[in-house]
Amino acid sequence: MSAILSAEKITRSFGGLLALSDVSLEVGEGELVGLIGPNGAGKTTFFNVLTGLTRPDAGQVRLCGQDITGLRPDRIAALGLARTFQNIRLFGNMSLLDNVLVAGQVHARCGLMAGLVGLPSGRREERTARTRAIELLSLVGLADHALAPAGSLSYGDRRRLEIARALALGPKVLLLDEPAAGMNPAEKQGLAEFILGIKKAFGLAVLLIEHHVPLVMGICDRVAVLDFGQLLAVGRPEDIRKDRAVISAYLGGTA
Amino acid sequence: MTPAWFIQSLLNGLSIGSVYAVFALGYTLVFSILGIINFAHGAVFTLGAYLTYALAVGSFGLNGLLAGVSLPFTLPFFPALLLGGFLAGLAGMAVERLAFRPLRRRGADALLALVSSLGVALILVNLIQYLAGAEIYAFPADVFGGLPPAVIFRVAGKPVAVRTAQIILFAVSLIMLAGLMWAISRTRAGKALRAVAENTDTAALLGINVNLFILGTFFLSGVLGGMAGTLIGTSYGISGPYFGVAYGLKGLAVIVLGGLGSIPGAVLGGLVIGLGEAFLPADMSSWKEAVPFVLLFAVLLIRPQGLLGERMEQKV
Repeated sequence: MSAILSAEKITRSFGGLLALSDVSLEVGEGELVGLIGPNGAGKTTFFNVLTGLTRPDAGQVRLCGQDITGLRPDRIAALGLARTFQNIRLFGNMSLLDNVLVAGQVHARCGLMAGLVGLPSGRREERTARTRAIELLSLVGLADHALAPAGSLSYGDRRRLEIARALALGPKVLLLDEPAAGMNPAEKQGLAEFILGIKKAFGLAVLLIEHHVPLVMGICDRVAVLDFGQLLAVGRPEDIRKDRAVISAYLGGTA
Repeated sequence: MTPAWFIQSLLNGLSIGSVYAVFALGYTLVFSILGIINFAHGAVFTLGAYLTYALAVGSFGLNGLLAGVSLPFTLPFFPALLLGGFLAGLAGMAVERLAFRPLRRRGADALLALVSSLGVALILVNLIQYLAGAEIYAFPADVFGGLPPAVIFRVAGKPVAVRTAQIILFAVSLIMLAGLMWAISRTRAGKALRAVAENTDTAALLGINVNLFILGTFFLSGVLGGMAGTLIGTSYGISGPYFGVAYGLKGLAVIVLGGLGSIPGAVLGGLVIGLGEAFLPADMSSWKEAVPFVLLFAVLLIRPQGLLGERMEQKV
């Protein structure tokens, strides 16, 4: 299996705090990898490094073999790395449709000017983008509210809109930061099926940060465990469940 | 108060108010993206007026370094207005590159950019004085070509006069305002701009080149400022290198009155202040410069967030 996203020996500290220390992790094509660990383990920092928001002190990130370390976030997004946030970050004053359209721009071939002055090619592209955005909204079951402001959505719907918006980037790899946070058990089950569904439909590789261990163990091909910036273990869910270091650090109890 | 006086004041107020709105939008665009006032905006306003004057008239007077130098060509008014606006837009981009971006890249406090933009403003104003002198410039009476200087009609038997310059002020401003509002709400670039305004990091993670949009915003802001300067300059003359200072303050009153960061607010604020000035009785005309601030004071007492502003949550 070839790695589509690989992080090699990522190190990052904030002041005296070592947030990530020599973390290496690969995500293969079409693979779903879970990233678990206690609060403050460095999971979100890891996502920030991958997506270019935070520069690593050392280490290298590769997407499809290309070195993307230190590239601007918008370049990395355009190359096919999309993410959602732990604290949902939608454009609350904009409609659902516009939220998705904003993300689809990287695939616009005509310049912004063509759209601005209303050239036929620009208008055609605008129509295609709208159709695609509506498709994505219906995929997450929100097409009926396409013109409502994103701020008016319920919590669960916001999560789904954020995923639709990330998908509009046409990513190769999707990073989900605690998508199940604040969901009830039934919603969590629905989310698990939803993640598996989009992964299959879009041929995505997914890296999933999640605290809800049964969810992660249930759907992930492999699970990585982060603790105090160190990668404790990577492996199949059944092996992680038995890993002594993991159990004492995170899963609780003594084995 | 005669009907003719009412109509006359209304037209005067709408005309000047619409230019205030155009000028103030330049502040608003930058504020909504960076959350900071660009104090060089008034200087770009002045620069735009001087540039258009140079392009339309071809030479500057007697005192500056450029005295005696003349352009090999002159342009008709409208091309000069557009080119002057474009060049002012480039000056706006220079303000971003010199005063804002270097500080942003170093993660400096946003307030520091306020000071550095003030510095750029001083440099620009002094550069203008050095090059074009401190004298007053008035556009020649025939600047609009063969158009008559004014349109006169009667209301209830009394004459009402609207100067051609006022009509052009109003028409150009209206076109710019409508175009800008349309572009921001309907086009892809406009949506991306709103995304950048709401959260730059999130916008970047969605593939938007944030610095490019910030640069574009400063360009637009410069065009708005420069063209507003030209329009006011053609109507009232260019009162020297410090031409933009008073308008710069007035523009600040407009955006605070309308609600900081609100685009419709800037337009409404501009019109309210323009009309407020125009409806000031003639025997109180020496109080004209105080009108924006009296209005501002009165509105803020009742609505601290401005006419169309959103109440800012206190972040702890």
